[in-house]
Amino acid sequence: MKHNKHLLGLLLIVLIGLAACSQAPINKKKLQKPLTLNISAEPSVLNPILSTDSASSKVIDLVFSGLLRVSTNLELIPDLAQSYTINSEGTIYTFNLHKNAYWHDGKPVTAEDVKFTFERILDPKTNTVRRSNYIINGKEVQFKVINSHCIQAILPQPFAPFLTHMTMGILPKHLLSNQDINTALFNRNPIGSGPFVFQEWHSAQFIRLKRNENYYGKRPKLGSLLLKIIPDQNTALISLEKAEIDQSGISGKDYARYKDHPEFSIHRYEDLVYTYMGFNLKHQFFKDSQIRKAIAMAINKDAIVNGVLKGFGTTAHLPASPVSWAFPETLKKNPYPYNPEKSRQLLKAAGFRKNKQGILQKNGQPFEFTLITNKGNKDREKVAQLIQQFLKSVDIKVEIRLMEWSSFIKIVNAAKDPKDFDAVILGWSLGLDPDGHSLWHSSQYPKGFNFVAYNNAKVDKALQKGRLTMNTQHRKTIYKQVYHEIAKDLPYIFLYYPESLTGIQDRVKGLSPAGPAGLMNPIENVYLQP
Amino acid sequence: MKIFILKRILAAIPLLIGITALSFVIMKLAPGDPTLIYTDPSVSLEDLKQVQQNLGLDKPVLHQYMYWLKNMFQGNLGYSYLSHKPVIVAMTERLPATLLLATVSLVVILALTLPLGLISGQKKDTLFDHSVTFFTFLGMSMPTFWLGLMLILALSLYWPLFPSSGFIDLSLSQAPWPQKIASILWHMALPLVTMVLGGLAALTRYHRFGIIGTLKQDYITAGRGRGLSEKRLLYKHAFKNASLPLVTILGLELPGLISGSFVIEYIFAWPGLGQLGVQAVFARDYPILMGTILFSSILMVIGNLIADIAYAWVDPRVTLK
Amino acid sequence: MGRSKSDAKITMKKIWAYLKKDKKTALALGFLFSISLAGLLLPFLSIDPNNFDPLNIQGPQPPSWQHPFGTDDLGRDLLLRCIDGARVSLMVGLIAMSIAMSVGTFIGAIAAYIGGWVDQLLMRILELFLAIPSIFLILTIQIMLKPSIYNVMIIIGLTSWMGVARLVRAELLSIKERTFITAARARNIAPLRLLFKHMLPHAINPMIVAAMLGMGYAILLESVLSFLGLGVQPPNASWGNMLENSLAFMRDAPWMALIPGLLITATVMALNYLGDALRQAWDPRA
Repeated sequence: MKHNKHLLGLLLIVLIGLAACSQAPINKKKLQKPLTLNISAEPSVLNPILSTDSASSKVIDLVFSGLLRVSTNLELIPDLAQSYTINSEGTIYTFNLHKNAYWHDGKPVTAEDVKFTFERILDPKTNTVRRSNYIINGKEVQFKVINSHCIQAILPQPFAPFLTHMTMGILPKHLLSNQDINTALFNRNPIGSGPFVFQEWHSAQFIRLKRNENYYGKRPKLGSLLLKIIPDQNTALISLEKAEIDQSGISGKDYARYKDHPEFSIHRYEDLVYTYMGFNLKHQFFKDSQIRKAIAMAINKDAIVNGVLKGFGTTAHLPASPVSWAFPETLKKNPYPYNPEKSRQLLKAAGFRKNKQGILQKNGQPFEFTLITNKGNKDREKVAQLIQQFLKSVDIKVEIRLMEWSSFIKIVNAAKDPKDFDAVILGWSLGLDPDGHSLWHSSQYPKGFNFVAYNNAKVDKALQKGRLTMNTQHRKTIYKQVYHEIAKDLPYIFLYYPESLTGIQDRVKGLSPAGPAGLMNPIENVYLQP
Repeated sequence: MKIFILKRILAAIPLLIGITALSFVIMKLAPGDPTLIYTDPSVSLEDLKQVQQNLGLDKPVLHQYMYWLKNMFQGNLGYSYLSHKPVIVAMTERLPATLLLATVSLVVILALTLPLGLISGQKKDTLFDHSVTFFTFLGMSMPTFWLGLMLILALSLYWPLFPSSGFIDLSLSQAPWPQKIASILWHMALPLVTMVLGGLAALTRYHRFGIIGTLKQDYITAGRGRGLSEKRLLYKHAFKNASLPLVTILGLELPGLISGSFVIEYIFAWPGLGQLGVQAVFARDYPILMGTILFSSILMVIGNLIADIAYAWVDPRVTLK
Repeated sequence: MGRSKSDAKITMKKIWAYLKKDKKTALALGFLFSISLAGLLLPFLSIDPNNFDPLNIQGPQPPSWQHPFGTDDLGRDLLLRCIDGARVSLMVGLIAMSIAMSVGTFIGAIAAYIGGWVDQLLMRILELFLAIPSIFLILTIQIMLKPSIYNVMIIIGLTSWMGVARLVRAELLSIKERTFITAARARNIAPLRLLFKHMLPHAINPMIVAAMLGMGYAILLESVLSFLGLGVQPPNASWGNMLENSLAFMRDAPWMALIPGLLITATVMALNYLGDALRQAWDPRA
């Protein structure tokens, strides 16, 4: 027993030691902490033309600037380009650059840099997935330097969504022209022309930025920024409570706990995303629109919003977000409202009868299908289980399969016809432009993102027209037709638009109204209450 | 001795090639490729194809492996597909955190295992022995990630003593060294406890058997007959002999410290190698994955070697040849 | 043949005698028996533990008389799901362990019996499997195959046979030179018969102990895989995916994380105690 005591003593000493150490950092907190944000994941690469992940773009948006940027109202406004003009045909875009824009190393930003950036994107040796944004109908967009601060983009034909691709961060030619852009050290020590200067990056820990004192725009009020990498949502919430970070996303179920928190407030907004269940339209049952209609009527979308999102979201019936300018207010109603009785009738009319196991059957084929979704997204997992229950009540058997992301994409993107899936649950985040060519045009199947094999000549034509039309009001009418057709045809059952909740410490001031463009946009206005 | 080490290293080379070849093939059999991880409709499939071509992913697997192997022998592990960093850089960035956690937990485990195993082996079937057995079984039976979560729940949430994640207090970047070290240790507390509780169990159990076994040996009985004191017998003879198998096990556990700690690293956001490797599996970041596997196999070879040398060192009857 | 039968009888007697004396082991055995029984009987009751009312979801509710273990986020009774999960976890443990034991015994026996270069080759292959970090191996194979409970069993089985193979090989090597085997060889008994009827039974004791530990290991591994979302598919419950599901509710509903974790711990611990008791029954010195 003597040894036992020794051990206990030892353990106690260790614990006291650790507790004592823990006191040390607390005493030191005299200086005001910089604005500390959570970017949730390790950024992959801090180069605007190479990166595709959201953690990287959060950093890139602060360090780099593009010709244009997105305003709080989701409009494109001049950034590096002080002004721009478009010729009447919509084929020549002329950008006039800020005269006093400088790289973080002091060199001026010129039209050569802009040309260099887009030419690098177009270079096949660059490992970028943005190339096709600057290729229109098989022809590359030409970039022509007019003078040191004026550049033209010359399009082979009008292309309405083109301007949204002009927010791409511009790279400094003088630092990259003689480097392999895929592996350049620059990608980890970026030099941009944005409001903040990159300082240090501790892998899997944090990235530190400081104010760009020579910024061509409004001088940022914050002296520095700390971007923490906290992948785990629980941990992020604890850090928010302990005021270790200033901002964190909050899920609907936690809203009640935090809504009256004394030190931070929750901001809510509708994002540019929707969640849906997509059918494989080549599936023996799903090719019949009456059967899709029956399934739609068996699913209660309100119950999904309440059960999965705890009410923080709205039901969706078409592929556009209510925040988008193209959203047709007149199509807001659910064309196929929840009605299990009607659903059963439709299925009966389509020739289905219950078999011995209590499952619907037609020509000896039981109505069973596999619903796949990507693992790791708890909301989609739950949606799948709710849909399973709803369809069970109309005697359709659903099996759920969660797949790891790359394997999942491999199945839906495989260039084969028909594809190896029955139905999927997924979500799309929408760009600023309503162009839905990659999702709905029949040319995008089997190669492309129209993996459900949607084919509607009216929609095809309208999508083409939408790309060529420059007038916003005209485009709105065109897309209204597209949405009307898709909502009627039901290639997807649109489920909901989730609401985003974000908690921000009350010491953070100068925020914009909540919206998909971000509360801290423009970041220059944000400051900390002393 | 030198010849022995050289021979062992030479013998390890085919093993390493075998490991990397097998891993490479298994890895390539998994569907998907690194270009798919961030796929969304704004990305065109032609662009993906071009990137695949640039990365050489369209070539046959054998060709890709030979290319990797050739570069590896030239000391070039390639670039991460995800971060575009050289693999060596990506790994060395993560190495300190992993090594720190691994070595400290190893030291703590040993410091606890040796006395615990010794006493419970000697006092077999006493209350002390039974409680040690209970706690070692408990340690072996708890899912590591669950233990970690419960620790966070208890010691970071309900009773906020320790931070739940991270490596160091970020406000301390300009602070003097002792304070930084203190902060790192403070952050390490929970992952360390998790790792120690898991690792302690099996070793203590093993050590206890070793002690019991040696105490039964003829020479101990003979020593008793010669009137040697029980203390001397225990500490000088039994302890030393029972430690032998421990040395072997420790050698074998060395690579496990990397791959075994990944869940812990994940839960506590500890910026180590395990986290990097698991992320690489999901992202199909083959160069990083191969680097991690290579590193852990080299560790295994070294671990085995150390175990053998230590064995010979502790027990003069064993000769190295 | 007669020899091994009488061996088994003696061992059973020993075990019973031991159980009467040792309350802990009796408790462990009782626990394992009752959760297995509950898990096996559940499908015969007409209750579906996966059922819930999608129109009226009552978030996670704390334990009460109606729901002794509380409910999960979809309002499903956790007691039922824990029992359902017990069947899954035990089945994964049992089958994965059987696969590992069969593969390990086969390879270990072949290596020991034939010896020579076959032994060398098999041992190198074994080292290869030991050297690849198992978690990467398992993750990658798991991604490769369709996610399902059967694949989980196979993967765990096929990646954890190495210990058994080493054990069997070592045991057999020590038996191989014993006189009765040499005598049997002299009598020209068929090699396979010799191996399985005469040699393996002598290694059975340590193998059973290894099986107990192996089953515990498989249950733990299943929970890790499910925790990473790669195991049993929803809506079916396993202790591992219940834990994974509890992550988001750690603070509001700690019972969702606590109970399945305790069940895993208790089960694996019971298996450990059982293995220990068996070992003591055969080798009272330890």
